[in-house]
Amino acid sequence: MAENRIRVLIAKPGLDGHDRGAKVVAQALRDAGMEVIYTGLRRTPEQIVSAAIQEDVQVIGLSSLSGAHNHLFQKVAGLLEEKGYTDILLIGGGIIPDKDRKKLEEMGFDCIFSPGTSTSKIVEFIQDRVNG
Amino acid sequence: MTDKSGQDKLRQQLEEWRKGPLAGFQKRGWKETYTSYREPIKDIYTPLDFPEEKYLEKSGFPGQYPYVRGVYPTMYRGRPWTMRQYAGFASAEESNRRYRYLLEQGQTGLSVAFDLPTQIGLDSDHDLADGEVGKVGVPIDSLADMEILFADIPLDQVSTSMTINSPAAVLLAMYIALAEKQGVASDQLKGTIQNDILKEYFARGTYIFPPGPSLRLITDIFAYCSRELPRWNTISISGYHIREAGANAVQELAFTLADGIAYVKAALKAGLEGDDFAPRLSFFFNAQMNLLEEVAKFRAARRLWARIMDEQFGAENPKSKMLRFHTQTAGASLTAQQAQNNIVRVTIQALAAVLGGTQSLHTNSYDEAWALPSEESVRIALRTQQIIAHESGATSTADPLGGSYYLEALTDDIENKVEEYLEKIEEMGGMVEAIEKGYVQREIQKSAYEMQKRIEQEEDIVVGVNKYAHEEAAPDDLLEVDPRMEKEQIKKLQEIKKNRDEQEVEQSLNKLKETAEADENLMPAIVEAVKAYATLGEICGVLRSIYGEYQAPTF
Amino acid sequence: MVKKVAELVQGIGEGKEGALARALTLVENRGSGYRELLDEIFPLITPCPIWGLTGAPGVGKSTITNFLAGELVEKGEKIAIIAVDPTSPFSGGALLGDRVRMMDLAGKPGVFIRSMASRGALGGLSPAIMDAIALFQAFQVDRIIVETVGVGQSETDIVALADSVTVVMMPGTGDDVQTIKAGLLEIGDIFAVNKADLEGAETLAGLLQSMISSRTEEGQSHQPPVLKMIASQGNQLEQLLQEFFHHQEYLNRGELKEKKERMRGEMALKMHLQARFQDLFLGPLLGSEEWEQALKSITGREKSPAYWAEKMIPGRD
Repeated sequence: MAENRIRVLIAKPGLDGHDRGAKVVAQALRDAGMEVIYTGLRRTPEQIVSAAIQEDVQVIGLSSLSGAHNHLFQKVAGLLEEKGYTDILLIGGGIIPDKDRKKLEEMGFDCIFSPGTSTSKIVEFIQDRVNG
Repeated sequence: MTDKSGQDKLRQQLEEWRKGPLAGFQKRGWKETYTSYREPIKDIYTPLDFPEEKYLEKSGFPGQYPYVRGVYPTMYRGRPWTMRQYAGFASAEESNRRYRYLLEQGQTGLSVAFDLPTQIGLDSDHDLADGEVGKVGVPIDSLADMEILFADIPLDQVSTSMTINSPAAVLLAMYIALAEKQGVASDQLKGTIQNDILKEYFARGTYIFPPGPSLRLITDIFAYCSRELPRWNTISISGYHIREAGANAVQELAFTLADGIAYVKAALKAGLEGDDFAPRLSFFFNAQMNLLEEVAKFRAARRLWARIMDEQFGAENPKSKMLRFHTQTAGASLTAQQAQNNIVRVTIQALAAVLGGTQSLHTNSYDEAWALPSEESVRIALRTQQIIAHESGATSTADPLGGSYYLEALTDDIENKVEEYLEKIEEMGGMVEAIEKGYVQREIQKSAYEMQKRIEQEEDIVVGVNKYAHEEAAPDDLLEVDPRMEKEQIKKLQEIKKNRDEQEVEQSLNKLKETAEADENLMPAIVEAVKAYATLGEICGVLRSIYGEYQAPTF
Repeated sequence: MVKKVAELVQGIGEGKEGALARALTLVENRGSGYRELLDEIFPLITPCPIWGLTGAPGVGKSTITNFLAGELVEKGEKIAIIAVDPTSPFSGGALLGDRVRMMDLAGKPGVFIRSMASRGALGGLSPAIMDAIALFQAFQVDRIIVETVGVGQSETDIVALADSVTVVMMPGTGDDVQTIKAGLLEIGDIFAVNKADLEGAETLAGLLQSMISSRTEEGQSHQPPVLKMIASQGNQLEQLLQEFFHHQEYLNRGELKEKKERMRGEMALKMHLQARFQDLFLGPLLGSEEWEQALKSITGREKSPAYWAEKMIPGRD
């Protein structure tokens, strides 16, 4: 009897220590029935991609509030592409200006959520894209 | 209201009011209301909640124990609070230009924001610094950067606040070394280092070493400064980030004071005299949206700290019992949607800080949910403070809201709830234990998650987000940090490493290692190392090799 | 689907992390083809030591794992870590946060970390864990470290699957006489009293020591050591590593190793039988017409659950 569970990696790339948002989202996804792997702070893009591959997640969620998102998020997207994991749903959030959001979405991010996004919207987005 | 018959009469009439007029109107509409810490709020507050006969014991007068009504007798009629805007620029040169401009405008207090690699004791060329150099503040790799940062600024004429924690000793050492180069005696130096490591473990995340060695660094700074830098504020015990991480008002206060207690205990254990270091302790709180609850929080904080220092630690010096604090308005309350609304939010929060008797204040800029603030938004934030100071009348007398039945009841309630937390933490073996067990983190996460759920279920309203929302274009005139900055900073670092005396660096780092292993005060050895242009990363690297790095508990 | 399984088997044989990761998901989900997969990789298996760490949340298991794996990788070993956390009984979701504590291992070559939720298992380990071990052994790892939260059934499950088990405890978390009596004593080959600088550590260690001494039968050559440690400071971790090695040697000397192998085989077989029972019998029954009929009759006090069970799956007694 198959029991598929959506597995999600929530990661904090770079040195930013603000993990309130990441942890709130992680709890909301757990409460929506997903298995959420949280990496903790200060992970490099390489470590994040390696964890995502080993954990075989369908979704990676990145959070950054330090302004380093352009550099670090792009690196994660680049590594995933290089290793052939473009099927992983890639989402992000944090303090990210609209201009950067558009750029990141062009670079392979499926969605960058702006501050104030409800967790139920994030849950729906993931469920639609993974199951749909 | 002091006599018993008067109280009885009041109680009786209150009951009649509840049964009669109130009950009648409640049928037309009534809402249960709660404090931020989920305590139901009564229908009405009366002298029964704040009996006059307790006034002297509970409140007293401004400048007198237990300092509920303010730490100074004159409060803002003597001198307004310090308007101190925290700001970081991507390079030492740029920051220096801004500082000098501000000084020319008559400002005397500087506030330095460092970038994340600096805050975590990493040089700009470290792998983990990739993409972070100069992003949230100025990068400092060595004394050379500090020389640029304060070029043409006489250190005996300014007061400098540095938001630096884990590597606070190194940045302070650089400041001391720089003063020496300028010919300024260290006892002339005025300023503050945040130096509050405990909250980093559970709320802000820029930790390096485990708690034991971190506390040693802190008490070494206390001891060194009480001898060499008597005018320096050696720590700013911060609830700000605890609140930002999702704590409620009671948790913010409880965990901040528990941190304070841990520092005092560590210093006493290290052999310091309480009244030598305690007057230099200062605090840093958040001002959130709930105006009256926030004012009550600040008042309760003063009473609690005064009692802790008096009763638990037997402090003699009145200054040891005064809780002086800086306030910043709540960054987490700013919304990306309809960003101009944030100007109103900041105004209410700033008013709470002023009505709560803050010593200094930073007001956030309205665009900070999108990016680092622009020059225009920073100016509006500062003007907000100036309008409160000069136009609102909030400064006309000390503690103007004192005596409000509701406010006084809230003050008492917050005090009691904080005491419950403090007892619990004490039972666990103190704050360090409570953090290592993950207790503090869990309490905050729970509160943050519940808060989010209440917003999503529209139990709590955030204007422009879950109510009164409308489609709008995102702002596009945001501040951007030039990514080339990082490369330039790394080049500068390499230059410095090329031109310094390597032997001197090595000797000073060896000496630092020996000192760290020998349990002597680390400050003199760190000062020597920075003078030799050893880098921040090298100095912290030596300490890392001995102390190891902190590992966060599992989530 | 056959093609997919073949690809995974080939990838595992070639040492590809991605293939192993997908295979782990397939067995965890009991997805289509998982039996073929397990069957195919069975000949590839090279047995390796399995170490278990169990204890209440927050006692420091992941810190210890972080160290052990780090040391072993330094020695050139290829290490697998399985970190098991409970599934929420309300949502079926799980928060798997053990990687937070394994900072030093993040992205390190030679370490494969897999976080697993306990899923359906009632307080115990996920049935898929035995299959995960098989996959890792087919992947030719040198050692597997399994970390489980010591609540309920998983404590005893871990004995069946690991060669050597360290029970991690700390003072002041209710790790006292009662809990020790509740069976922990029987499962530990090594006992670690972490956070030994806390009050009550001496008492806890002393208590353990005396209970172990009184339990150990005469002539039994392995007496579980009790280590007092402060894992966060690296204190006594090297000692723990050595104790694991000692226990391994002890197993290798006698017949215990075979006994362990048998236990493991038995557990895996039971788990697969249970899964088949679930798929073939229980699954189709749940919510069926007969099911509803039975429930009505039971709540109406007509026929007993025992009666219905026999009626639904008839057979000899």
